[in-house]
Amino acid sequence: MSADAPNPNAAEPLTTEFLLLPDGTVLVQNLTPAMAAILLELNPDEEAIRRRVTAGQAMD
Amino acid sequence: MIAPPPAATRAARPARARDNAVRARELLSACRFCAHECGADRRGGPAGLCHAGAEARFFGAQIEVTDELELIPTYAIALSGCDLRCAFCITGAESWNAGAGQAFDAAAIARRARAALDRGARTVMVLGGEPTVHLPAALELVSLLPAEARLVWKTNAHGGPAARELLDGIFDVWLADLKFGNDACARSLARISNYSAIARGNLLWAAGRGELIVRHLLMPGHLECCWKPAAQWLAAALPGVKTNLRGAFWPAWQSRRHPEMRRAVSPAESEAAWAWARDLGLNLIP
Repeated sequence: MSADAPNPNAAEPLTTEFLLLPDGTVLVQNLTPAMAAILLELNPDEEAIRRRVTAGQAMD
Repeated sequence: MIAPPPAATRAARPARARDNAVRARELLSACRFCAHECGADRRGGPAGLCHAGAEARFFGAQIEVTDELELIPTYAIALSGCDLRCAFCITGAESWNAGAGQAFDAAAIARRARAALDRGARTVMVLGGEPTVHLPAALELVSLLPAEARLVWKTNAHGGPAARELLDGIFDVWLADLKFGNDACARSLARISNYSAIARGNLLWAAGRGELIVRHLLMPGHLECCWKPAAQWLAAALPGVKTNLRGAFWPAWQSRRHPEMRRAVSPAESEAAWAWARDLGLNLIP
């Protein structure tokens, strides 16, 4: 991305919503690449999140 | 499998979207975009069952990786307002209120979407609420996006014939919900009638015009009445259609008004739902 190109997330707070269930399950909506990376750090064995982190790495 | 649109068709998309946006604005005087076909004049402000005016608002525009793997990263643009009133809506505050969020500036959002594509986003997704409600704004946005961009129309599949005509050939992927397996649950949970015929008709239409991905959100206590008939219908009417069975229901918004919806889907329910899908040979995608 060039220096003068608009940031697609500019001026907007990024939003991801979580619901933590009593059994420890984490449900998530509107997952951003950054939050996916954090979730993977919390649970490296979670394959569904890993695939989303990998997809998110396509972004520069 | 449906082939992607030929290059000539794709190249003509921005201009066609611009023309269709003009037509869509004209139709706001007696709006029949959604299947309610209420005919409200929306030009003067909020009107009709969706309570949407002529100008769209939005409550989200960001890069996300929540959706189907083949679509992400996507630049997801969420327009406020919806024609349904799903008690369990995860974005109920914005979806039930077309005035929520910020004024939608198609040119500004298109710039941000183009920047996302330049950075590596695979798709641009227009969603809601329900984007059908804001057809003029959505088409104006498309007219400003690169012709080669892969565009996703995320819909509740409750649009009407007028919307279908204006959307024909505009989006590459229809990501459409099949929420309910029968009309009684649709009436109880989303306040709509004749749901099955409308949603199924729209899915059949979309399947013939581009790439279709069908979503079903598993709902607690609604496997036998909703998922099972929905899955059976998909297997019979749309064999091989990509289907995303989503298990992340949470008891949001007004779910508490329905006793069975006050909890998440249980592991046993989830296992049963997936087993039915496999037994029916559904083409499940992550």
